[in-house]
Amino acid sequence: MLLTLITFIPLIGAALLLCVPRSMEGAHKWFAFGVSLVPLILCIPLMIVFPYGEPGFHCAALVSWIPSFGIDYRIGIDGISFVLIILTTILTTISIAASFESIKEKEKEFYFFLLLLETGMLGTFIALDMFLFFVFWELMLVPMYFIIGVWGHGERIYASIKFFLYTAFGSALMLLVIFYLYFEAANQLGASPSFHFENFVALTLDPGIQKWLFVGFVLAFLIKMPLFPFHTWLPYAHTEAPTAGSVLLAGILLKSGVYGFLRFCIPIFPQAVIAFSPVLMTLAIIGVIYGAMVAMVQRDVKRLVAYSSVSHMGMLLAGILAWNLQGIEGGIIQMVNHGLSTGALFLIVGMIYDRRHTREVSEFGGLSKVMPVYATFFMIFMLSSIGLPGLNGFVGEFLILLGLMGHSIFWTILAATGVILGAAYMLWLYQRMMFGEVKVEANRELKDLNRREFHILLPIAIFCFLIGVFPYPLQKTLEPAAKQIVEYIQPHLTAEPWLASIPLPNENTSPSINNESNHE
Amino acid sequence: MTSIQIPELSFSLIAPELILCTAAIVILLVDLYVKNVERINITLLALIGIVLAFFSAGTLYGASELAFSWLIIRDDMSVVIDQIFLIGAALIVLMSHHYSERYHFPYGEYIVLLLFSTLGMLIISASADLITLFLGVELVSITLFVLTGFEKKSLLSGEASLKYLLLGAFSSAFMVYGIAFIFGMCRTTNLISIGSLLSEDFIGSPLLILGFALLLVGLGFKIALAPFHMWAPDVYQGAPTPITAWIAAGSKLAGFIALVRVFSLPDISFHPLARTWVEGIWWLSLLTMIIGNAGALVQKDIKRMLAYSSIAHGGYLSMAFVSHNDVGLQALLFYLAAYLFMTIGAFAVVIAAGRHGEERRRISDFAGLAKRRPFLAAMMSLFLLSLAGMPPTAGFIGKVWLFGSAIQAQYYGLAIVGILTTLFSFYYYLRVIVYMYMRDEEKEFEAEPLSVSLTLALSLSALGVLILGVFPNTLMKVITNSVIVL
Repeated sequence: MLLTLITFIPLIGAALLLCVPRSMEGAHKWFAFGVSLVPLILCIPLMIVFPYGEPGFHCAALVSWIPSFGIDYRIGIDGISFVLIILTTILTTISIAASFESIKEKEKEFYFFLLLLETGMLGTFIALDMFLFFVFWELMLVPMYFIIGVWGHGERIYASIKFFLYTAFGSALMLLVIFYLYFEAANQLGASPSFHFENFVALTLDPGIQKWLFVGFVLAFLIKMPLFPFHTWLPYAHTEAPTAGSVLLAGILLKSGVYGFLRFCIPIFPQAVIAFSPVLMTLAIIGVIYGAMVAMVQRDVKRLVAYSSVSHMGMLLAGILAWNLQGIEGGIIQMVNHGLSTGALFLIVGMIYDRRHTREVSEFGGLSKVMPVYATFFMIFMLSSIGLPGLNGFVGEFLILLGLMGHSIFWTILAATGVILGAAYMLWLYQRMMFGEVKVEANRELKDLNRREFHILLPIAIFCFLIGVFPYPLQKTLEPAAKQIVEYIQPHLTAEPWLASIPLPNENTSPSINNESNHE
Repeated sequence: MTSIQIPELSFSLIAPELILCTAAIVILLVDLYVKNVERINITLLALIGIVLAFFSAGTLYGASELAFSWLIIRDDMSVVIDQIFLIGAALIVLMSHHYSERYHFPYGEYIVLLLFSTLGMLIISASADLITLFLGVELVSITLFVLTGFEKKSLLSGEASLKYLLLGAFSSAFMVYGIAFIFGMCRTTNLISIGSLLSEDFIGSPLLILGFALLLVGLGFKIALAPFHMWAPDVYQGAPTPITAWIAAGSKLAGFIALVRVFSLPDISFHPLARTWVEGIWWLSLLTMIIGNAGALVQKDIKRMLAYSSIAHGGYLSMAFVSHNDVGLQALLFYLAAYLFMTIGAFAVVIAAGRHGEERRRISDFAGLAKRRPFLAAMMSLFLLSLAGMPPTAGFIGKVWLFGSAIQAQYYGLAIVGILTTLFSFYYYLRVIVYMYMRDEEKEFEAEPLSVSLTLALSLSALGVLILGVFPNTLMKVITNSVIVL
């Protein structure tokens, strides 16, 4: 019930927002802000109720939605979804607050789409029914399309359509695979057909077919993540989107790709995941280095941050593909970290854009003298993104590298190169923008952060420090879920498969999951 | 000598048809004898007739009978379909009320023809005999020929009407020819008798296959399956917009129901023939999806774009015949209902966005609509997203169900083509949204205030799209039951 409330209150709020008359200027943003606070506050009881350290899905609910099809409203959360839900509610509230001054046209529609997007994102993380998941997954797409296309900058129309078509392509293939699995489940399990994802997990799939199904299924998540070479939509979408859009895109939407990979791909296609993991690993590491190198030469700050996302997401996936506890945990922690630090960096960029209406690095310089508070926040988030010890980024990157070390020294070295490059482009950016003399006259007059902006950035900074210094609670929350993933994959791992091309195991053992629990 | 037996006449089974017919005749007489009758009264009369027919159809659930010496079949499926048709007709009447005022149509005659075309659709849905079927198809076609040409001052309208008439007559000839072959081989035109005959003898007889193929071509024209789709864009563009909506939604629905009656009745279990049949329609479906979507990509006129989109939808819908299973049939019926709401809704927006002499015809005319008419732009977006198949709309559930049926029947290739062409369709549906929301208007369009009838039509369609998208279960259950009862 609690989860349902958290998920659907933004939707109800969005519907109510439509009833606020257009003439009441200024009311829309406050209304949306108020609505977005409700799920945020409801996260507190959720944090109290949630059983930390216990495996399985909690706060579950099951209501029949379309019985003639076996589609249920089946929800539940484990550690991963729990953390992502909290992140979503925080970032949505912050993005609404961050849009107060930058969005001046069609305010009503803007906040309507933001709230709709929040429901889509939250729903994606709670759905355990594949059909329900797909509905929420697609629900994220339309609001984001509008947010980029209507309130974006420059090439917004191109960016929004590219974003839409890329993601829609991935999810279309996913839908076909879901249906294949649905009918296969009806054949194999004999029970009344259902879209419950654990039914799909229980299936025995022929390895040959499994590969094809995996390819169709995983593409949706890889595009959203985005993994090199499916990342080309991202620089456009991130750069042209308004600040709130970029924050949510980087903070949550990219994470939903990783989340889908962890939650559905690995349990349903364990053999295929392993068969493809050398390929995925290679692409992920290419992404780490490629993203970092391209970021280094960007002239546009926002584009730079966008490419740094490609690099970070590659790193995160590489950690997961190490298939050990440290790597997977590190990957999940990095999801949260990346959401916080990159989200914050987009906010930082947005704030300077609001003042100067340019994002060219060369337009700035010496800002630390003019805007000391701004420079401080920028530094915190920049260092968090690099992974300085004591800040959140360090915890995730350290665990990822540790996990990678556990299976291949080769990939670890390459991934570590990416970290170094990351430090290079970020520090260089900071140096160019913040230090030195004030070269451009317009910059002398810039005002430092106002109270609203300060309070937007402050909570994120606090979280960065908290996670950096006390990672234990977060780790504890995620551990059972990470262990569960390792358990799914472990029976299918052969010794040292990493550098050799692995044949699929012949016996189609499905992972040890409790079959009785599927037919409640 | 045998005396002529008068078959039992069970009028109660055709109550919806009778009521609708009566309403049409009453309006005809009122229009003839009462001077200066208000348009609103005609609209109300038509709506009353439609609503009465709707409820009388509702009482027929569970009847499952053959009547009028097997000319009429009254099963649950026909009742569901009748009700869908009647809802559609009501929406069209509401739209026409507004539109006819704009262009000063002879409103009485217009509504009468509209009701008669609806009657034809009801006859199709209840026909158990090729003769009744043909009667229904002709009633729909002929009334629509006239209605297409109703905008007398517009050249396009006249051209459209003539084109529609010529090609329509051509396709009817195909149908009759096909029926003649079937009658020649089976010595009956009754579908149920043909079904039982087919399961015994005649299997694979080339002439019989020819007959069915000709019938398919004839009906293929009516539902604009490629390569028989050429007439559709021109007719859609030229016809008065409410009629375009009715051709796109109603007439297409009727054509598909005719196909269902002929080819998919589980009673007619001509399985050996089914293979040939499935193969043929597999190609038609593939071709239609590709041509429809590719054609829509390059259109500049909104009505032409919607015409190609409706051709593409015909391709998706005919997938149900390929999968040839219960799921496919159920999906077809559901999708037809969903399609009706979203298509009619989209055309209603096209009407509402224009005014006399200043219709928004080109897609670029929709630029800046979101700023000037936010409600209309939001509605249009909803209908377009539903046509594109985004959740949580009716179009999504319908498409998922259709593609699902193809996967269940293991036609993976067709399902993949369906999905990929759907992706193409996103582009042209989004293009309209891009114009409405993301571009500034090029020339000013004087706003005409939304009339009550149009608002009603819009909101009802939107409601239908959303309800079928979020709570599809009620209709699903009805449909699933009705298909099983057969």
